Amino acid sequence: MEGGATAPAALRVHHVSIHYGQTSAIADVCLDVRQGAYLGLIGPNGGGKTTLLNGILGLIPLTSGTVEIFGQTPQAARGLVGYVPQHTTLNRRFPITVAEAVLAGRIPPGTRPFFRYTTEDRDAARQVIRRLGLERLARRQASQLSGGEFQKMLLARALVSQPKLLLLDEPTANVDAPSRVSIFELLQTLRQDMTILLVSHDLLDIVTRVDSIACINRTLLYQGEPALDADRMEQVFGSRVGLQLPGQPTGRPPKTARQEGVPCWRQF
Amino acid sequence: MLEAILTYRFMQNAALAALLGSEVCGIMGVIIIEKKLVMMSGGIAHTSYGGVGLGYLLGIEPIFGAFLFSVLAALGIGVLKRRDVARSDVLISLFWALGMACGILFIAMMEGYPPDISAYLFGSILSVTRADLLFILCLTVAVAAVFIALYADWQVFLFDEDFARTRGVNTKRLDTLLMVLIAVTVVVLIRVVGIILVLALLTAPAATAALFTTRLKTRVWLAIGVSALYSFGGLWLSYRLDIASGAAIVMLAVACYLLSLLLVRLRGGKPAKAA
Repeated sequence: MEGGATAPAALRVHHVSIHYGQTSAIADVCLDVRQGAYLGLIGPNGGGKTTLLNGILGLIPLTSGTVEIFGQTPQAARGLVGYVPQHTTLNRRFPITVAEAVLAGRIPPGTRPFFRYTTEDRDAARQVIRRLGLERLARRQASQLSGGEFQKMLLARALVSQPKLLLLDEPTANVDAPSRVSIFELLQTLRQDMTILLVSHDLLDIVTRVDSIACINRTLLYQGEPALDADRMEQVFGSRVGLQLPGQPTGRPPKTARQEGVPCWRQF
Repeated sequence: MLEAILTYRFMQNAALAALLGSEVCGIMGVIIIEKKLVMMSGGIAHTSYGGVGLGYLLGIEPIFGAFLFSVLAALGIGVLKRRDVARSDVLISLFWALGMACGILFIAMMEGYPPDISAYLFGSILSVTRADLLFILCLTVAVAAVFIALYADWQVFLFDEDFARTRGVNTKRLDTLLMVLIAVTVVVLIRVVGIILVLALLTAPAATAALFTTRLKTRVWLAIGVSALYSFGGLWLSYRLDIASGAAIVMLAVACYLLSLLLVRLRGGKPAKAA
């Protein structure tokens, strides 16, 4: 499933501005994500990536503008969206097993007294746990997982509700290299079934894996092919960082980039 | 002490109050620690002193005044925190001090000799009346019922509040409910250990339980058991040594927690940081 230009919109961010008090976090952001797209959202720290994601999810109010998910408001489209948060926003030491955490992805909206998960919910959780290779960890406490295992658990929790749009906020932060590869392989298989919007500060992750990118630094600066020249990098990140493919003259690329033989970036 | 419990009405009341207090401690202690609301609970507890003073001034049961002030403080801090009016530690400290100041003022406004408020400050489980007990029973049942009825919601809310919101869970309502439950818990525990010592009984049993189990339900049950152990142990110490019951319960709770921590460390265990 490819996110072609003619595909209907999965996500439409229309002139969105978000303020925290008197401070503007993002201003007049417009973003269209077609169904089936695999989009990377990049930008510097404090550039508004997570704020935009929170606005899309309806976690924070928009100062102006609108967000549509499959033509609906974020609240109405809740069942169509899967969300993998940054690991820093949750209670990592909370006493919960992997199976319980994944099952929690099936929690219904509102507050329902005496709610119990159905057999269907449990089957869905088992299936996604199996799909992500987490069977042997299902009974383990979330607090005992490695960074990579924890992220996979969060991914499983997001997938258990069978979303059509998957939003991931820095899913590979604090994850070792093998786990990072494994997570991206998973996302590669998932893109057959859903639209993916991935927020990452890691440029390598973005340019080598996604179909398109959107660069944000307070406002949307670029949306298109995952190719960034030095001028655009300076515009986005405020410094002359450029992307180069192997074979082109480079400076000293990071060791991981050399090992994996993937495009690398260097500081000018 | 068993003989005294069987013989004397006030000892029966004390034992029942200890048992009911343990239940709310077990449930709410775990939630408070996981949600990092220990200082918030301390603020609410101390604010209730204003209600005790108001109760004496108006000639009503001080525990009802404490209930009113605790709930208002919990809701007030909750609303102001959510609206990001000021830092939560600032709000907590202001409510804390304001409640204490109100209590002092109300008692000073009374005619004649001021009442002995040490039972509310430091607890007096041996002076719990049947009316107190009935009130405590109602509050305890309410806390347990709300916890059990919304268990699935609490689990998601305590683990990852943002995710809960993206799923449409009414986290605002849960947050408000949690504040009210903390207020209720404080009121239950005021008669057991007093306003000043309430924090120890709210945290020590749950923190001890966290050293030995990593499952939420087990932790709650264990915290209830540990809290009952501390309460009855403290009551026994108070009975045998003729010392203040609230202080005896708290000293035993803190000593047992530190001992448990030491044991876990000596056995090479790595206690959870929540504990």
